[in-house]
Amino acid sequence: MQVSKTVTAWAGAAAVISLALAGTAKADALSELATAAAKGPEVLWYESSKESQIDKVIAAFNKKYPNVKVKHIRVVGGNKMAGRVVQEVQGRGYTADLVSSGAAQTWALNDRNYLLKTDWSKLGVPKRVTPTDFAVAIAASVYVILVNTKKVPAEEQPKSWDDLTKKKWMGRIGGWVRAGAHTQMSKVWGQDKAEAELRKFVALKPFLFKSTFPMAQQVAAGEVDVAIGFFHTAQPPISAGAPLKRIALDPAPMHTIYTAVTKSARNKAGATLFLSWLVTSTGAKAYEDATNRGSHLLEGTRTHALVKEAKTAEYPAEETGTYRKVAKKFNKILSSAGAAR
Amino acid sequence: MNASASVATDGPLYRGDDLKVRWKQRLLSVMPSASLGALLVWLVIVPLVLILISSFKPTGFPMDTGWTIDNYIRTYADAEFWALVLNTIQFAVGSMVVALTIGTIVAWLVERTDMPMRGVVRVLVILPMATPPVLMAIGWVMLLSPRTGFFNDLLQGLFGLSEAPINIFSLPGMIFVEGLALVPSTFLILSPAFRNMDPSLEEAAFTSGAGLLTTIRKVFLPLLWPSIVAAGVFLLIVGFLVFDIPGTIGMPVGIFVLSSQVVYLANDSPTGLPEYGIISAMAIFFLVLVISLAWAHQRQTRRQTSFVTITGKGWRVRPLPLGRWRWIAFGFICFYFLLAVVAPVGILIWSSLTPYQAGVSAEMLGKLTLANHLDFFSNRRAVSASINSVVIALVASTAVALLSFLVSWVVVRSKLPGRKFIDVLSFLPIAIPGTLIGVGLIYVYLTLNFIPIYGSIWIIIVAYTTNYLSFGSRATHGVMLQMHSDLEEAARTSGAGWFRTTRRIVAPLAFPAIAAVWIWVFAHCMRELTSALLLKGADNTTLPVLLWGYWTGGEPNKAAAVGVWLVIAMLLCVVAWQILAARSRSASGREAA
Repeated sequence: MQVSKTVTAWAGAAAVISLALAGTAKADALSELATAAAKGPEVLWYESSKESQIDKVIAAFNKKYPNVKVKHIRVVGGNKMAGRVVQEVQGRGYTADLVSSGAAQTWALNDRNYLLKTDWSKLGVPKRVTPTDFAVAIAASVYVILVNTKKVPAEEQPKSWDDLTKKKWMGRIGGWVRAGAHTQMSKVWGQDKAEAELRKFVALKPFLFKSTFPMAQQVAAGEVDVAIGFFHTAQPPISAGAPLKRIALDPAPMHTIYTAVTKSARNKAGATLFLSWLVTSTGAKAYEDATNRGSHLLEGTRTHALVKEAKTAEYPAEETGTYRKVAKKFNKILSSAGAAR
Repeated sequence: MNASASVATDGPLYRGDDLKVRWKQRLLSVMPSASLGALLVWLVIVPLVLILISSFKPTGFPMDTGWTIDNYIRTYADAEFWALVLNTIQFAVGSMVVALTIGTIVAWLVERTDMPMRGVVRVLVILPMATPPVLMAIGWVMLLSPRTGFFNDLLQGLFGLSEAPINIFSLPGMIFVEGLALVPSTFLILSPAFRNMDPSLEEAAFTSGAGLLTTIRKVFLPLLWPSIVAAGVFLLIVGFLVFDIPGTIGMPVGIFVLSSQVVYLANDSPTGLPEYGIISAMAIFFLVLVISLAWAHQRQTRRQTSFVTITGKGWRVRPLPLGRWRWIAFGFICFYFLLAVVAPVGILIWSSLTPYQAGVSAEMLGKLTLANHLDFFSNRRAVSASINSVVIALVASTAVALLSFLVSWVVVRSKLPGRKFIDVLSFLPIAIPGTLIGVGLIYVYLTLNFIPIYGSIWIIIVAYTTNYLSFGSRATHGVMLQMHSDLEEAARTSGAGWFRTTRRIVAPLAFPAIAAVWIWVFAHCMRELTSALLLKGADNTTLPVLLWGYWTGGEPNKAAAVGVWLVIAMLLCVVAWQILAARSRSASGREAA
């Protein structure tokens, strides 16, 4: 018993020491990165949020690292962003230091060997946000039900996937013109059930919107009464006082947003430092507060709270190829919504 | 006397068989078309070659390895593509018919009749051009949507209808809005042609007892044919490529056109990269279409003398008295304005004052706010974007106006070698989707980094100059075709060289068309989005990109506020243009006197 106590005490001490050492090592690594980053040029970041939103994120970063300059360029559309990266690398040999996009784009860039591999654990980045060594999950776009509270009384509001396919929504429901939600749901439901649910949705003659931000506005305006949209896209009209409400889905489909450091980055240290900071509790909060897109993987964010009780539906990054195939098939089915009209 | 000779007569006239002199003469004679051709090759052929290469690349990226014809097979063997072509043809032809019909009537009423308030109409008619199409489309949704549309609510309330009488979410709805949106362009192409038409022809027709319809059929239409064909071809191609209105009105109910597919392939393809290979293969279809139309246009206008109405004989435009039709015509114009200007601009103003997107209702009156406008003026990025937009628009519109004039002179007025090639070159850019022009330019200026314009406003200026040259050259072609060669020959006989003849005779006569091109390009540069978005760097953000940012960021009301100020800027610009044109006319009058 005495031995056991001694062993336990030693083991505890060893754990504390190794944690302290790891902490010291992490602090050293970050400190070295910060020193190197401050000597480099400004970190160029391609990301899709508004400049005014990202200004706040960069300001929060500069509170901790005032000597590392970050410049954000808004590039809307993940595919176009990836296309631009390819062209810049091919044309002049370098592109942005940091690129934030979806799994399909990030993996496509990695297939071209454009992304830098990093040992993120040395920098204290949680394993759950680094499914791979070339990308870090910084946030997620989570699908929710959007409801116009003036048009749909509380007792009639849909609360589940089953509610959404009821006939009463015929001609009153909206969705994104891409079948992203149903594609991700196929990971949980299986392809057959997801396809059957998608066909039920199509039979309701939904209004399909090119972008989910305007869709949220159209729900607010009463053009459609309910829609399957993203949590963050509903925030602007809600903040402006629109009669719009979000209802969580269970399972909740989502698209994770990844950020990667490029191999051609001109300030690799700065880019790595910034990305490590972005997934700290301070960085994640700053990003979520600014853009309304938070990380479902990091505790303390609103997005984590939104989905922690629900099952999430998303193809893991390594199954991006399967996602692409299902998405292609489902997009085609969704485009037949016009023929049903 | 041909044009090559006219170039040579600016200097001493060389004679004799001296080889050097003859070579110099020959060189001088081809210099104008060669330099213009070289510039156009740079602007047009370089991106086109990249598109062609892209269409044969497995990934669509021109600098990737491997070659394939798979993009063509995937595009043209797909029944869906041809279904989209059919939809697109209906949409494009319908929009063209609406725009040509209304545009021709408005241009005739403004330029050739004594309809009241023609000056005001001339200013206001092109205002819708300043409204970004996506805002115009969403405005029409707010006016004519079956669920929340203002006009539908009004009609249902007035007539006690149980269902909305109009559904904007339909092919006719798309055609109606696109047709209205294209009327200003039609007006700007046809207006100079109407203005330059010798009134003695219509007077002779009326004197001979011909009625209005006979005069239109036998005098107006034949004389205006080059301009009408030019406008028709232009409108048809625009209808094939435009996305904003089909995307906003057609897409929600599943009416897809070719441009919807281009946007899908560029932005939403699940591969994670834009499918430039397929887009390029589709662009080849547009190119063939445009070349065919350009060829048809050339055949139609081959007998140039048939369209000549500007001769050495002096004349003054005497407005056709409409009599009792005068106020009916004015009523027609008012109705058009209600549809094309008052309603969409009114809804734009309404949207700019609401905190979130909401239909017109008494309930929202209490929530109206100036916050969106105040945000626009207090935002440093908005100021910088405004400056960028104005500089880009000024430089690009001037470049296009000058180039269009030169292209039309070479193609229509001269006998210079290579003029047909220049004609086709100047028309081809219309077939290239804005996305692909952007992609081509990125490669060109990233590779040729000794021309450091990537990421600056200059790369956008190059894109716009290329893009809008098609419209500019079509508009100036029509007027050049109307001028009789006697005018230039008389000037040269009197000892004037090419430059003087051009400055004193050709340019003033073509001025209405050149000015129309300038204003059209200016307005379109102020609202163009596709290329500006693709070529965006850190410091070259334009107003439409800012507006798009608001739109895609869920702040359509801020976008509407930007739209309102774009319309106001355009109004000021058009008023200034009219004042300058009036002064120029009175100065010419005094000089002539």
